[in-house]
Amino acid sequence: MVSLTCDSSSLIALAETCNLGVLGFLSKEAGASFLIPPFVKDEIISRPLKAREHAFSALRLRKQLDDGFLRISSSPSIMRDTHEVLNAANTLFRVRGKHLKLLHDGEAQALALFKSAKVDALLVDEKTLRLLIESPKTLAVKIEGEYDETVEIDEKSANKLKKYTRGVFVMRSSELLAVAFKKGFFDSFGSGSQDVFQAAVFALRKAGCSLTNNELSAYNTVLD
Amino acid sequence: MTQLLDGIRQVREALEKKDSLALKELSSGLAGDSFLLQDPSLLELSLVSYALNKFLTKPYIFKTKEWALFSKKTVKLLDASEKALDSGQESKAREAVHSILSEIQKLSDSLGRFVSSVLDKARLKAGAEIYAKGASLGQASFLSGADKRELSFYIGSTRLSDQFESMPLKQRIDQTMELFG
Repeated sequence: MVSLTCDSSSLIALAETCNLGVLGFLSKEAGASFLIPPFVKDEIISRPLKAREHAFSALRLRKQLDDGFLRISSSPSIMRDTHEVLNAANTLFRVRGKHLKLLHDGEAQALALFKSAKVDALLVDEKTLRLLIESPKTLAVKIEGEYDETVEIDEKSANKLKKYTRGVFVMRSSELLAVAFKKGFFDSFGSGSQDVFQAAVFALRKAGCSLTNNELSAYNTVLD
Repeated sequence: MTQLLDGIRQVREALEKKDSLALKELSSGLAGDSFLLQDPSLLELSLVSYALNKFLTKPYIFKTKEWALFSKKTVKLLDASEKALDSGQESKAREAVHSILSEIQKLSDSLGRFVSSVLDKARLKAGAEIYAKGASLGQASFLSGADKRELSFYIGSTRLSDQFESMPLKQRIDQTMELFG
């Protein structure tokens, strides 16, 4: 049994590339459970339902909830934890004496839920949350390049953030699709299933999954 | 405030010179500054600059009577904003910048040839710039006003992701496979 918390970027990428079926597939094949905190539910379902151009995507995601493949999860401390994550992440870096507000509510709450729900992985496609967890210094260097200024790191905020990021394994929608492919998600395509998988990964990248060009190429061979 | 005042002056000058390249560059710079300084008026000025750049590249817009009237009005509003900032009337200055957005929307609606307005595209550009400066997708979407899905696709069509590798792919996949058994 494996459980993951999901932020909206990964679910949006899966929805927009017609790969939401992977949630139900892995629920059945691997006993996986996919959890979302309340803010993420707002972002992917409640708010876009009000906009005609995004309602279809939101309805497909709501069906995942209705079918039990996505579950809303919370905890008594979720709001407090969310604010702690937000405060720590958004005071971590300073440029020209100004704090950079890096994260928004949904991302912070997805990370906060990881700890309280004691899950195995965080499913996130966008790059900032992943870098804050895996390599904040890489993010700092990139920002220095963008602003051509030194980024000061606040050690107090860094330690507060580490409370939430320590031990978090980050997965993207592409890795989720990779494990589903290995378990037969694309078998209905017969001998072409490998091509379908690679095309699907490319589609995820186009939909915003933060994959480098090297990683895209590596996906052609890494599962052989 | 200095950043906003400088921005207004630069946008005004570029508009008067019909310098669409300068307006395009200003738009990116202002978006980046809006993220750093958390100043919504800098973001709005970025949108204005982008829109003006776009209008100036379309003869079916800038050769019209409507453009001439719009351009005059925009310069007036930029002047008003500059004067208000010079005299310490910050909220008046911000209102004047905000008013230009309504004028842009009107021009885009009446003369534009596309379903999504120039301001929607401006928000996507600003959002991508803010994302490049380090913001998360959610934060870039929130600050720019661009829709998250559309911003995600827009970013996906750029090479922005190429800079953000943090773990070898094989390691990430191996750990994923191990987790799922």
